[in-house]
Amino acid sequence: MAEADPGDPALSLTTWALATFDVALFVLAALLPIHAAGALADLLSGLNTLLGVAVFCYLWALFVLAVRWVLSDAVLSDPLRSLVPRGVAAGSAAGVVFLLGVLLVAAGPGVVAGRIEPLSAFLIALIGGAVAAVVGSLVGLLLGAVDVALYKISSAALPDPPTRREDSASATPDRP
Amino acid sequence: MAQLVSLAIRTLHVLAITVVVGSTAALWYGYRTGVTKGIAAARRYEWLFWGALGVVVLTGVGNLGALGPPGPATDWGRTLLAKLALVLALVVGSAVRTLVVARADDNRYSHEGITQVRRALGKYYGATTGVLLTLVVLAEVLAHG
Repeated sequence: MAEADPGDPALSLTTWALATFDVALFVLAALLPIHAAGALADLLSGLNTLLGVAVFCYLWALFVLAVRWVLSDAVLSDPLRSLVPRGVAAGSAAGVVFLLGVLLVAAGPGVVAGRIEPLSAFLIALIGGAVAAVVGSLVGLLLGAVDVALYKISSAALPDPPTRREDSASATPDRP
Repeated sequence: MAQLVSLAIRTLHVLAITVVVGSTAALWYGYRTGVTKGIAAARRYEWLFWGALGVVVLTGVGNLGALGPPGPATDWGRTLLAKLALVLALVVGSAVRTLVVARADDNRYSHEGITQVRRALGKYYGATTGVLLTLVVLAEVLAHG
């Protein structure tokens, strides 16, 4: 069945839902094992609430942009060989942008004020960016696989067979 | 200031879940009784649902940070583990439901087909309402014991 959700070219329902699903799954998949290991309180107690809100919103926006880019020239029913590279590339780019954004806010003022050597900041960004690209590509691959799996499940959940209105109309005798 | 931020986060959490529970239950009733016709209402709801869900997850983590949750060996910790697992199930199930809504199109179905879709949506929104109400009960247990 073809996509029935062309939606707004800027942001379709599928893009909005999958991006928010991906970010929620990403956070929950991290929280559950951390809590099961008993380390959640230690982890969260060191975080500033407003900073946490800002980081989550930043991550959410990046997920929306990444999913939007992946689905801008593809649909979830496409073959995996065309979806996987896009998912990996989007995840990789999102990982690098996320890290660079965090570094810019965290270390930028220090570099401007001269407390941090520009070369040190550059090296951290370079090495960290490479690690973030690898981690991001893995996250993109995994979440992309989950998205495609859920799309296949939704095919089974959609009432079948859908009968086109024109089909049923053509079966109706013509009116005089 | 920290207390004010914590209060704002808690308030946003409760408001977002109120919107989600109320609108899901309304849609369940609408599709179950046939008051709601077509898929347009479901589409509008799904936009709202995912926005509110993002806020619920965001503020939920913020609440945990403010509370400093005890480990999973305690009753509170076990309840939190159950709640997180149920939220995960809600998120996964809702993604499937949203994809069904996004792929369904009123114009592709005959009268019988659209009735089938409405009946299926009624079931999905009923199940979502059930899970959400269970989450509300778990949240009450976490808040008040």
